[in-house]
Amino acid sequence: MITLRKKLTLIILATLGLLIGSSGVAIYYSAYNSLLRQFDNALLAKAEAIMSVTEQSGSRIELEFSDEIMQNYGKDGTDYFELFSSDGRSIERSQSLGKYHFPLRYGTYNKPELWDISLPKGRPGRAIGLMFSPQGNPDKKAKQEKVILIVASDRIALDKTLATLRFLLVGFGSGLLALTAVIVPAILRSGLKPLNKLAEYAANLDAANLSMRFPTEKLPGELAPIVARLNESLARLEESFERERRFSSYVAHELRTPVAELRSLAELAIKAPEECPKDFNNQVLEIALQLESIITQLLMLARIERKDYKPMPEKIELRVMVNDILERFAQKIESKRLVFIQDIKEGTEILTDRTAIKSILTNLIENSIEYAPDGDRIEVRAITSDSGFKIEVINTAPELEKSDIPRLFDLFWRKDKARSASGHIGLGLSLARGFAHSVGCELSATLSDDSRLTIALWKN
Amino acid sequence: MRVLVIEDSARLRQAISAWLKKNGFAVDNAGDGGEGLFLAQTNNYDVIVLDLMLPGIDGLTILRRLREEKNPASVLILTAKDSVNDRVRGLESGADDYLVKPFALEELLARVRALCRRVYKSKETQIVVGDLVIDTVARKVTRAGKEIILQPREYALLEYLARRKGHIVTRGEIEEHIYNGDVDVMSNTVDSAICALRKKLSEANPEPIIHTHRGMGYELSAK
Repeated sequence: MITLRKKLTLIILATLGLLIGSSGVAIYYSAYNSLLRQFDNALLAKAEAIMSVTEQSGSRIELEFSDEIMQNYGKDGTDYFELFSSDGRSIERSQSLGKYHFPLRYGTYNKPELWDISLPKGRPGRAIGLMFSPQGNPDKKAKQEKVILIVASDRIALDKTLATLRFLLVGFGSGLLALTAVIVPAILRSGLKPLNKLAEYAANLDAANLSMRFPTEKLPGELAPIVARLNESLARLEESFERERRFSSYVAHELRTPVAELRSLAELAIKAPEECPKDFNNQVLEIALQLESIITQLLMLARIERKDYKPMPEKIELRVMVNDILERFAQKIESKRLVFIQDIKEGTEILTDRTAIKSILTNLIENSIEYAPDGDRIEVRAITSDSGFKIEVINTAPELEKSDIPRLFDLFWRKDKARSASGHIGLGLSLARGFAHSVGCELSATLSDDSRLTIALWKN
Repeated sequence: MRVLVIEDSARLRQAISAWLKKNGFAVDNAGDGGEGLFLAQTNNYDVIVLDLMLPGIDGLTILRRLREEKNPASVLILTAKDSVNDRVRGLESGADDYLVKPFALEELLARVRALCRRVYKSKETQIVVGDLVIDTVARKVTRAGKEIILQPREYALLEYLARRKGHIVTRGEIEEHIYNGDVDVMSNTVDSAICALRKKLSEANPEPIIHTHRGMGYELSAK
């Protein structure tokens, strides 16, 4: 697998290699040119020295040798020269040349010709060739002669220097490269350690320990936002698992208890019929209806969560629907001496899905009846506009606190955790809200300072 | 044997109580945690059947309180939660046994009886006192080889005395454990029950095996 580290290592090493290499080459060539220029200047100086002792005497060219100048031109000398007349005749030559003759190559004094040459005895050399007019010529009658001077020097020393430089540069460069090949991976390894640590930590994550969080101290700037997001996601995941677990556990309880009741009743009827309650049949029916209601609600909730519910809007007469619902709970309303105030104008119509609204309103009204204290005043209000409607159910809720309000719509949340005697399970409001959303409505709750709870259902 | 049932479902509570009563137990009821705890602290129960999901004080809390107070009753937890975690938590909080709803009444009965055996530190299924043999599993009583048929309450009384064989059991204890304390102080319910039991036992062997200790109580022993 391609790792960042390998990639970075390769790129950095290649780049550094290239840099080191090209610097080496640049240094070498710059040194080479400089040395060569020096050498050539020296050659020129040597040529000039000879030029200075070259005289034209009448039509003859003469060289005034001096020991100094001729020092290096001896038999075993490292310098060589040859003087030619303008028609190519060799006039004078250094002893060092021996039988060798220079090729006739020349330029002018200002722009002499310089070239590498193979000297006698096979030694490598470099030559300068130029044409000039010798000084002198006191006899103004003779024609000004031009001569060609070629001076050459042994360049072994130069070559040695260059070779040494090359050697040094290559050696140093390789050494540097080798060092970087060791240092760079080490630096990368240490620098990328936070990434490795993160990867290790992540490898330990699994569904069993969602409560762990990635450590956030001493995080490099690039990783900090990622880790923050990771931790957030973990928190959400943990929450979601927790909700799942709670849901399953509550469903287990809510479904199992009626079944347990049914089973025990039935077993009692079989094994100890005399101990059976007198209203056995009614009780069995009640349990069956309860189970039906729970299962229906759960299935509905599942459908809504899967976004399976297709709303079918129609015109609904609100007062009629509310009255129907109130009729259903008439007995309970009477036994608790509740007073229902309907603040809905005659003939108010809303356009929405009937099943959804009926279910939601039934739930809201049933809740208000269940939780309002005896003798409470419960209001049902509705306002409509061109674009939508708002329906409110208001009752007194003495046990609720402002902090409970956001949790009202949590699945299975109840103020008092266990099942109440009426067989009410906490699905209601969360189901109602899910239902509301699936038909484009919103459901919310507010608690006033004097403990009046308002649940509002609206569509804009 | 005296049992306390703490369960918030009225139907279940009534069914369990009726069933246990039918099988010779003295049963008290509570529909919520607070009432249940109060009863447990006030009376002596052999077994407490405790539902975990209760309104008011929750079941596990009650369990922990009972253990803190060193209540000697054995506790059988009833609950709908059946995950391993829940079971472990229940047992580690001090429960003696765990039953998941829905359950068979028979199983509840068997487990309660098993817990009762433990209360009296006898794991044997057979109690032998002289020539009296009580098979607590089969609920059969034989004396000198002859089977003796007893009513459930009579059996309960005999088993209670037998489990405490060699010890004097006071009238009050019998009233509590067999009659639920539901006995009028001036009545002689216990005495009549003992009398009836003696009569049945003597049919197999006239040797008295239940002895009266005047002013103190009764003792079952083969003296």
